[in-house]
Amino acid sequence: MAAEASKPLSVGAALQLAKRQLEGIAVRIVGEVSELSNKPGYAAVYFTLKDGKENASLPCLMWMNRFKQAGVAFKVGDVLDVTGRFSLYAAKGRMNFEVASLALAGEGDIRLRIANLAKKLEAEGLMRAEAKRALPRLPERIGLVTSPRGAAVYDVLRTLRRRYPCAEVLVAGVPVEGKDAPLHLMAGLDEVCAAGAEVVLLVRGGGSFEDLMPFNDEALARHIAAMTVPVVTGIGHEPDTSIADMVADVRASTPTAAAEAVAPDIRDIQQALHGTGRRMGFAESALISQCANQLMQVRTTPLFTDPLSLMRDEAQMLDDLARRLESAIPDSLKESQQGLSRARMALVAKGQTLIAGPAMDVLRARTTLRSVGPSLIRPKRERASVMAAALEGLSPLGVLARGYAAAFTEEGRVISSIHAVSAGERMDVHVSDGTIACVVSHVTEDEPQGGEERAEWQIR
Amino acid sequence: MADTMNAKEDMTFKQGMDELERIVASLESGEMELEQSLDAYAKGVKLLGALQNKLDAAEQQVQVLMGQLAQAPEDDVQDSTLSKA
Repeated sequence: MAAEASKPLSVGAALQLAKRQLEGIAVRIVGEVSELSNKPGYAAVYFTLKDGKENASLPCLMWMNRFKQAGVAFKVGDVLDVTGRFSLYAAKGRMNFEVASLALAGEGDIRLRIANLAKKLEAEGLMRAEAKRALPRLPERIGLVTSPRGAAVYDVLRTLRRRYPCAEVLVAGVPVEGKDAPLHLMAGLDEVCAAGAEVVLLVRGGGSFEDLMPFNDEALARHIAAMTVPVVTGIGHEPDTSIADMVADVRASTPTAAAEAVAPDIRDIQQALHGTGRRMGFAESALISQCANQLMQVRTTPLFTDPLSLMRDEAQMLDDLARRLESAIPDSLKESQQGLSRARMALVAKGQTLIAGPAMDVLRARTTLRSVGPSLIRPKRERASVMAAALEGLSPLGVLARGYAAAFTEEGRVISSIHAVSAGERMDVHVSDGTIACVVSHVTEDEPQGGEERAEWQIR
Repeated sequence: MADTMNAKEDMTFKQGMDELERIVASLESGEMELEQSLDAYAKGVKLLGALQNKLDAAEQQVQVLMGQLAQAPEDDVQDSTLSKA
């Protein structure tokens, strides 16, 4: 070494030498954080660990990807348990401790206890997916259990107001840190439930591992699991996972995310309402056009377009029957006709036989009458001639010819008594060659001894 | 709850939404009589308007059951959880 010391090295070469030596030393160190620089955009987190008793300090760095992986939030004053190796930043000639993993000192035991509790609760089924309750779609009342101070409560209120102002928010502002925090949290959960919350937000802002410890409480975990309404947690920041998160129905990474999880976005609702309105319009117009179609269909049915077609079958049947009737009727008629003429012939024959007898009788009677008639009439006729000759003699005309006259009343009655006429009446006197019209001047009755009847007539 | 369905003013927003959904579903089923459907449609349109108004007029109500809220920060204060994330 001495020989080498006499031979000067360049700065770079010297630092390279030191670097090689240093980087071989991997150690685990416990120390208190005195400075902390964690800025976005930086490649690493820089902090200083110090040892108050020994008055020593060590600049540390942890590459950002590892820091995020570790997920341990710490602040100045925290005691860290870090593992890593020394390194040398040649440009500044500065020694660093490059942290590979870190934990809050004493945290290891606690983490183990939490892990065991998680296993136990999981074995009991408190974390089963089936045990998770569904969130109400449009909650009327949202419970919020958190610290009344700090950003978390307002992050939630702001998010709810922005997304879903329709819901009433029931706030239970309770201490979320300290030994009694779990009891307060449980009381808060009960309170908002009793006030009618349909879903409860259990949130708190980011904090150290110790700060979040109340949310790893076993009693709180069991309380959450036994709640009658769904519980949504938003505890700390993304990498933090507490027992409360595990047993909650929905686990959100932050209070804001928790609020977003329970509240639908009012714009989505408005859009949904628009959609519903459109659907309603479509459905109604579809119904109306369906009715119109049905009407059209009815209108175009044969009933309306061609009513006669409805009776087509019947008409055909009628035609068929008519044809059958036509073919049936003449046959029977023929039969009847034949019967009729047969009957007529029979009648005629019968009639002739019926008439034949009497007709012969009539003929015979007529012949008899013809031969008998003249012999019957002859003697009568001879007697009649004799009688006529006798009558000739009795005729008044004969009497009149001998100078007698016959007197008649105007009415033509024979006047045989004076009582037949009275003075002034007209009378006719028939003589042999004519009639003399007379007027009665007076009448004179004869003497009862039978003297000559006298009448005095005045010629008109 | 069914009894209050007709009194639209008494309906909560959710009940209104459910009722509207029911109306639309029954309209979409296509099994309604025309007159019935027109009634339902009119009712649906009215309900839709009422719900829209309710949304437009909604204002957050906060009831503090336990503890006391600290002074509310201005709304333009950035969401702390978002900025840290």
